[in-house]
Amino acid sequence: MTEALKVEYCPHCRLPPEYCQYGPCFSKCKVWLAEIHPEILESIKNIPKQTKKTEEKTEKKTKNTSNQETKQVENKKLIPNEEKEKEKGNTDGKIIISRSRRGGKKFITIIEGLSQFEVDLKKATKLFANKFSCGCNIEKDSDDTVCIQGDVHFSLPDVLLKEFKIPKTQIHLNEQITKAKKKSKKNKNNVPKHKQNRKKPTRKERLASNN
Amino acid sequence: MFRKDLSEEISGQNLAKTSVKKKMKQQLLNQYPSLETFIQDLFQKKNSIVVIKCSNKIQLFAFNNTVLFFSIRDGPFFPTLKLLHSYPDILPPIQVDEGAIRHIIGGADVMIPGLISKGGKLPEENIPKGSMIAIMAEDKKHALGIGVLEVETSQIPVVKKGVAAQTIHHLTDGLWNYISEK
Ligand SMILES: [Zn+2]
Repeated sequence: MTEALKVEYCPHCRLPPEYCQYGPCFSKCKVWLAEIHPEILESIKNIPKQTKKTEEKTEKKTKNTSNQETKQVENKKLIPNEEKEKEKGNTDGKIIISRSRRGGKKFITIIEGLSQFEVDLKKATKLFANKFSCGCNIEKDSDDTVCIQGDVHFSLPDVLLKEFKIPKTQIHLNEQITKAKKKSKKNKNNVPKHKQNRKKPTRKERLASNN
Repeated sequence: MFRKDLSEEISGQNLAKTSVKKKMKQQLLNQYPSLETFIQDLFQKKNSIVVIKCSNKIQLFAFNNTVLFFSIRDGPFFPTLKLLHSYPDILPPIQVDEGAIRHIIGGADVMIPGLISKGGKLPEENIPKGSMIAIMAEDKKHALGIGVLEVETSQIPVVKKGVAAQTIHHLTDGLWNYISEK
């Protein structure tokens, strides 16, 4: 029986301190490292170029001022959410896959932009329904959105590649899950009437109305 | 394997039944004989054991609110990285070079060139294809990931390129964030 090792984790990025440089907030960790583990900080400094690059990258990320160049270089998985939202503007010619949640654990997968690849949507819905053995339909209001009843976003890129020869680079996975239904989304701005005029009056106003 | 935000993927959690516990204990003991006393300790009656179900057939097993193991499609029990950090001997290690760390933390698989370069290291005895391994890194004490071998280790220096192991769980992934938040 081996004894349990006690491992120290960095309070900022929660990684073991030797991996701080790969964490999301190395500039913060640096201060902490300098105080408690100067030897680790030094071993990081001794390693040339590569770590410097990552450092710059992480700093750029936190500042959120990345250029297009770095966007191309960086792995998609490394891009934080805020940058993804920026990217959304650049998704022309891309297929967007997103999910929304219905009830507790049921998902709907939404695909947008299929028609750009000259895909017959009706045929596609049938094929998806067949492949994933679940309901699939074209969204009523738009002519370019397909809904699949079920969480299939993992296997969808493979199917798209096989059936329609759409390369994975042209597929944009939106990882955020929208919780509300689409219809309710539109209604979000229209607050129900009984709630509309319920602004709490300020103290002055209340006093004025009392008098 | 794990998406960045695991809490979105959780579809339900419930206390493990006695029959499930028994099965689990036996499997864990078979899989990790060196952890016997630790596992016996985990399955004491007072401890709560919760099974957390996620989408993509992943199950997490939490003992007294700390996730220690997970499984995929009822497969073998993977330890979480925190458990592996405390008991580094439970999985055979393969070591990648400095340059590969960044990629693996980004979620990439372990590629063969990173293992056979100067900083890489393979265990002396052969490890068969499909077995679990701890992904270690040059000059680092602790593991940075857990993977499953795609090629047996004796073949790795011969093949020279391609994927050596699939990365299942790594630092900064969804599961890691989930367990270190607690
Ligand atoms: Zn840190």
